[in-house]
Amino acid sequence: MGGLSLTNATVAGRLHNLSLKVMPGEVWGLIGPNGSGKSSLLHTLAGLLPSTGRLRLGDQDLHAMPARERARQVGLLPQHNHSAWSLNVHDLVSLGRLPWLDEDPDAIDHAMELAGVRAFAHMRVDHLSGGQQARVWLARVFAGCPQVLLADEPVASLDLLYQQQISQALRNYARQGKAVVVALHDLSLAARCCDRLALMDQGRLIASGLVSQVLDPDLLSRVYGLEVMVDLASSPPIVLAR
Amino acid sequence: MRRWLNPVLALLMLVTATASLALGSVQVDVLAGLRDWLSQNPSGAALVVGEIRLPRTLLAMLVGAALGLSGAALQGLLRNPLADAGLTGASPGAALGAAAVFYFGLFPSAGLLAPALAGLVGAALAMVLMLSIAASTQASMIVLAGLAISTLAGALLATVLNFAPNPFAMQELVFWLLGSVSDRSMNHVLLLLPALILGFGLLWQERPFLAAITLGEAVAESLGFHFAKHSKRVILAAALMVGSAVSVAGAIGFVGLIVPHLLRPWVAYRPDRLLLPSALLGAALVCSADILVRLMPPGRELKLGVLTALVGSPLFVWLLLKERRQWAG
Repeated sequence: MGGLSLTNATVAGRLHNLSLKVMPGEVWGLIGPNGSGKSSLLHTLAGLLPSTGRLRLGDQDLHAMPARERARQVGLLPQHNHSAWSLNVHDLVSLGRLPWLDEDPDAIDHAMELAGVRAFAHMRVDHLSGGQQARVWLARVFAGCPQVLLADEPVASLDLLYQQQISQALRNYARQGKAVVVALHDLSLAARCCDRLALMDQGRLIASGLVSQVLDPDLLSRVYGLEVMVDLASSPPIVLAR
Repeated sequence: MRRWLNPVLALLMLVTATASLALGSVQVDVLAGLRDWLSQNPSGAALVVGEIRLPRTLLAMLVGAALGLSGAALQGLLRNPLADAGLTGASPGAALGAAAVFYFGLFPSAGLLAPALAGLVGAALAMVLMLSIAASTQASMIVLAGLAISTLAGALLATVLNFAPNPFAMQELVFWLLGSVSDRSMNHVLLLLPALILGFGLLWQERPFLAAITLGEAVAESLGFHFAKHSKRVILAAALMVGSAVSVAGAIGFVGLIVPHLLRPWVAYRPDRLLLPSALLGAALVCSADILVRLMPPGRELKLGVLTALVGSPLFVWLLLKERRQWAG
């Protein structure tokens, strides 16, 4: 797989002439203020939001791909997840296999292991805490074994432990040779768990590249409209509003 | 899912069907009657079992299966345990069609089949209207479209009732609307059977979609299911079955609502595994209800739809209270 590339993509009123290339093994972080277009970009990358421009996975045109094949290659974890029925964790994770039309026990088991939800595989999802549920939603996407995993704020409203577990699970997934793109609000976490970052504002890509290039105090101050302190040398890195 | 669920439900359905064939005001040998009827031997038992009880039993089972199945599918599609077959608009559409027969004498050549045929036309019209309005990527639009069609058909039905030419026609319509499978023939069975087979086939193919939609429209789309396309198929199948069930048997309430609700815990709450059990239990329930109707003391017949509503609504309240306690606990 030659990575996912988006070239000159425009979605009327949401994204303006955006280009991005994500390679296998990389974790990309999408950062930017609320309403900057992170979710729209993720949905565009997933092939769900029609855009002008080119969207290719390796040498294949993602827009021209049949929906099921596209779903096998690109997995999306939306920002808000809810199960209408009180499924148990195993059955919920197995929904990730729907594009493959199977319930491959190995893939489901591996996904549950990776997301750390195997211990409560037979519990009902609505009986779990918010943090446990967040890992179940992620395991559902893992189960589909997509080449590209897109996650929209998967750690929003989670405590520190769960934030770390989720970001570690995403990193581990990328280590298997997959591409991961994750929208994040926590810039310190983005600095810590992403290989590359894309900074967005008002539907435009302001900067993209290595963490040290994008997390520039002046750039962040301009985009967020307040003074930002960046200390990438400390461990873990710190990015905070002053 | 419990492996024994479907075999047990199938057995339950067969037991009820046998009881339905055996029970009645006259004692007859069911097997002998069926044998005579099949070999076209004009015996008394053949007449009772083959011509009276068999169509009634088959019809009760088909109507129950259609209602249970469409209830399960619609609740799955709309992700709402309160969704009911009436939401397709097919039910009031069928009622309106039948009303037109009682008042304007449509399809006179069809005889006893006339209300059913007109009901089918009404249900089909409501369904086409529903599908054209609900061409959306949101489940909430489907509910609103169903509500709009039901309200429209209800208003038209009220108009027809308002201008009823005579009280007898009105009484006939009201009784028909209460729902019953008595005095029906094999022709009614043949009218409903293709709709049920087609609807079941359509829904069976939509099982992966019903599973995917558990997590909402966005996830279903990302899993490769085009919501508008698949939801239309589910609505089409449900409306087909509900429309024809209402056309041949009138409105039989609460079956589509209760049956999926009762079965959900036994299929681990999976909407894709709820279809066959709902059809089987729906068939067994309506057939049992019809047996009860027949066992009532002679006099004015208690309509089947009235009985299912009388039994179904307290059961539904009990289920809701039980669930509320679960949430509170």
